[in-house]
Amino acid sequence: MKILILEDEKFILHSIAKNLTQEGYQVITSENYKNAIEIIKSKELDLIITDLMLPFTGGLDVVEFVKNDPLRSHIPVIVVSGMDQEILSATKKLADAYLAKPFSIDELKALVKKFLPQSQPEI
Amino acid sequence: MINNSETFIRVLVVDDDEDDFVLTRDYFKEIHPNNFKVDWVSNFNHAIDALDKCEHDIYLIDYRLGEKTGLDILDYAAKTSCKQPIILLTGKGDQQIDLAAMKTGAADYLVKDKIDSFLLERSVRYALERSKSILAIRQSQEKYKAIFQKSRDLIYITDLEDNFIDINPRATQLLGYSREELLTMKKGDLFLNKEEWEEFDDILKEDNEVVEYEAVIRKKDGGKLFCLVSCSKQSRIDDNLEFFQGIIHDITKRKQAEQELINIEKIAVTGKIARTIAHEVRNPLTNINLSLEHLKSEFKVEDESFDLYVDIISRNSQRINQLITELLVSSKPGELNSTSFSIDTVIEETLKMANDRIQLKGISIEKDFKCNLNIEGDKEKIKTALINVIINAVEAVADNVGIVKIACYKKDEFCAIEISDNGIGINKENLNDLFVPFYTNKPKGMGLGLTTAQNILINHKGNLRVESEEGKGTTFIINIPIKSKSLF
Repeated sequence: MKILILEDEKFILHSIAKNLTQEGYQVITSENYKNAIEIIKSKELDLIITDLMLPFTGGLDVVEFVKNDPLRSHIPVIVVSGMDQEILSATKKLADAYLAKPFSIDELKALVKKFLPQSQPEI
Repeated sequence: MINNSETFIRVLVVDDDEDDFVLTRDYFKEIHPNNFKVDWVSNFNHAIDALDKCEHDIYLIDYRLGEKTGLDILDYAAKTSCKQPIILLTGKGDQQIDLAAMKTGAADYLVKDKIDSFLLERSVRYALERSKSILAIRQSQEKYKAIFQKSRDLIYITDLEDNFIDINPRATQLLGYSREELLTMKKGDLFLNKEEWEEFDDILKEDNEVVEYEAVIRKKDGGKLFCLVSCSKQSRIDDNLEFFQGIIHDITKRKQAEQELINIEKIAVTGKIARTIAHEVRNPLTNINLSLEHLKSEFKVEDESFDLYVDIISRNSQRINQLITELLVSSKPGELNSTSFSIDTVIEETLKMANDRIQLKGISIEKDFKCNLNIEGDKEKIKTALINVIINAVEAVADNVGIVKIACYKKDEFCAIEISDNGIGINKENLNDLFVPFYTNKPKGMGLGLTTAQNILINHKGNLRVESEEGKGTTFIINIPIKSKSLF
């Protein structure tokens, strides 16, 4: 199960990656939009977790890129943001789930599990 | 029916004696240039018919007309719209009749025996010319009277002691006082703030003129109007009697619209700042929280203090996050979940929510809100706005002696809810800061309550206004459109 994590805050990126790797997921990380699009184009992904406010281009563009592409629109996208949920109503319609910052590891895991129930534990 | 030189001057002679008429007509014929067209009627009834039609430029009327006299015709003419000159003719000179004729509005008084064409021409010419001037004055008067009567601004005249001498009908509409009441008042009585009146008066005395002085004007019912008051010293042409004349221009609506625009912009700016702060603060908060979780799971420290410190970090992180949430909530546009509901019920329910604090402070609530109005809006949000304003009032009053009054009434298209307290009031400077986010003078408040309330009301296309007098208390006025239309 391959998950792309897009987040410009290094520690958050590292923390999400570490915890999801421990859960047995294969994690690919990216800190910017351009790089993330490359990854989305070249890899078979099962889930995308993206922050909304990235440098140069917003995470919303990533959501739009995925959801407007018939080949990839089935990939679930979780949006992570410190913004107020109601303000993000437009994003919410496109994204599959929303995770409000600050979040706990348990919240993150539960949400990922919702989309990818059959994780393969690392041996 | 004013003639000009190219056309005939139409003359009507009213005389019961045909011979006398023929004589008069002959005098007219002798006049050069001969541009008179002379008609004749012989009795009172025909004369008044002719006056009703008013087809002649001048009327020559014999004093003796059977049972009636020429004075009766003059009386009648005064009541009609026919304002053409009337010359009274009489058989012999009688000063009494002459005086009576003059008083009733006759243009001249001629004794038949003494008439010749020269005298007649001169009398008619003067009468017509005077009549023209009078008409011009009357037209001018009507014009200025209409401006005075129909002006959208209040126009007044006072003597030098500021007693009203004249004031236009707009004053009654604007202020609620009758004309009679106003004529017993002084101009200073209309100014709500003594300082404003004194400053206005000083400028007027010094410069003999004040241009568009912005002042709060008091209405009879205690309401306030924001006005531009202009005034200048004038003197009468004939006797130089000095007086003041001025105009009061109501700018309340404009002022309120401007204020509302400022409030909307203020909230929009707050919202933008809030969202930026939310992002900037929540990232480090996420770091703190995630680090804490790592600490707890990866380092097994057998020390009570460790747990205590972790707990403190965690709780404070939550507190910071709560603050961000409140800031976002206070300024977010937010969608309205509109329904129709009774405002009376909502006020009651809101008061129940505040009941603990009311009981704790031992203050009393005076209710006057049986307004039986149903409004359309987001009930829960309106409740949030109300509770913020009510709690604000409850906290403004002193323990045990405090009184908070809640009134509700329909005002035009709005439902108005007034929440007044008998607290210490707010001075003018602080009043301006009242709706500024994070402005507070309470030790425990965050200063977002009124911003939140105002934001909700703005989202409902309503508004929140405040009036306060130091030492007397503060009144918040909530206006909600009865038929709500969301701004967003």
